[in-house]
Amino acid sequence: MGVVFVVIIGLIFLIIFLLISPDTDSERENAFLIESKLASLTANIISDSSIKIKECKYASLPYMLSYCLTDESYGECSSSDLVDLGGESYCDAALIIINDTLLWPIFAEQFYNYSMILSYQNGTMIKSISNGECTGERFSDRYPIVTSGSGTTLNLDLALCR
Amino acid sequence: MQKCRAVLQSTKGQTRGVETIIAVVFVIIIIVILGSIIFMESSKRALDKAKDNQLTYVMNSVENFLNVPELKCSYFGKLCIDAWKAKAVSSISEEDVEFRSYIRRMIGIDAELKLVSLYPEEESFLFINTTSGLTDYSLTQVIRLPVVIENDTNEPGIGFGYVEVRAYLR
Repeated sequence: MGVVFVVIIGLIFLIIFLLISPDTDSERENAFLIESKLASLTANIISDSSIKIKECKYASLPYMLSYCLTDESYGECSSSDLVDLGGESYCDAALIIINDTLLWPIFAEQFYNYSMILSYQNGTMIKSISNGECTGERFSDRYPIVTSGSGTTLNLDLALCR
Repeated sequence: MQKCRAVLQSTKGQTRGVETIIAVVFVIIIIVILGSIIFMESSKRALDKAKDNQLTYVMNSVENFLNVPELKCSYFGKLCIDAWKAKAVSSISEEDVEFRSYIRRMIGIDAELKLVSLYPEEESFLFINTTSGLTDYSLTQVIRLPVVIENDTNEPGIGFGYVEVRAYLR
């Protein structure tokens, strides 16, 4: 009799426990709102042609990224820091600046893992950078970047995870 | 013989009574333990949920605050802070209590806002502090909002960085 009573009470508590279990949709929605805001603000900076890189003859990031589309070697940065890091060409320098100066301090220092993929509109990947593998919850979105000069539109895929 | 049977029945009855009492106590203990676990778990989850909601709210209200003409760059449509305007707002808010409480009402929470420039120059300064210094806070949340920063003293004048929001929750 006692055992049956305990089992019934246990079942009642189990039902209550399930009823108050976390609202995962709400939690996910909040995280999504925060990550989507952070990612879109970051994409705004990368695609902003008014930010000029003084070490690379005051070229903008979208313009420097347009060099990732070609094998042409002209468009070289003069900064010894960037050259030491392997960023002699505009394309590599842009990726180093984006990774070291923007994505790392904003995302990695907030305990996010990130990946950024630059691709053609047809989906062919051009370059990618990341700070590690994503194993947890993941947010990703695609932002267009219009490269100055050629006017080509590239896709910038930013993914964040924890 | 009858006496013996009566004693036996009485002992049986007593044992059954003790068993019932033990069962009731056992059930009460189980109920208390389960209830405590559920209460603690639900409190923790409610706190986590409130924290997440508050963080989203803080982010939106700070973004709205950063878009006021007193801070925003003159040329730019997106989230862009004029470093000079931020310095001016910082010095006014340090001196003027009413202005500080106006900002506190806008943000809706006790917070510190630090403008950190990452490019072209690395520099940072605390430009808003709405904390009273008298309150004990149970929780601190930090969020970094990427922003474009206009600063005519640097070359080139437009760079980027972030606004670090340190929100203090009671």
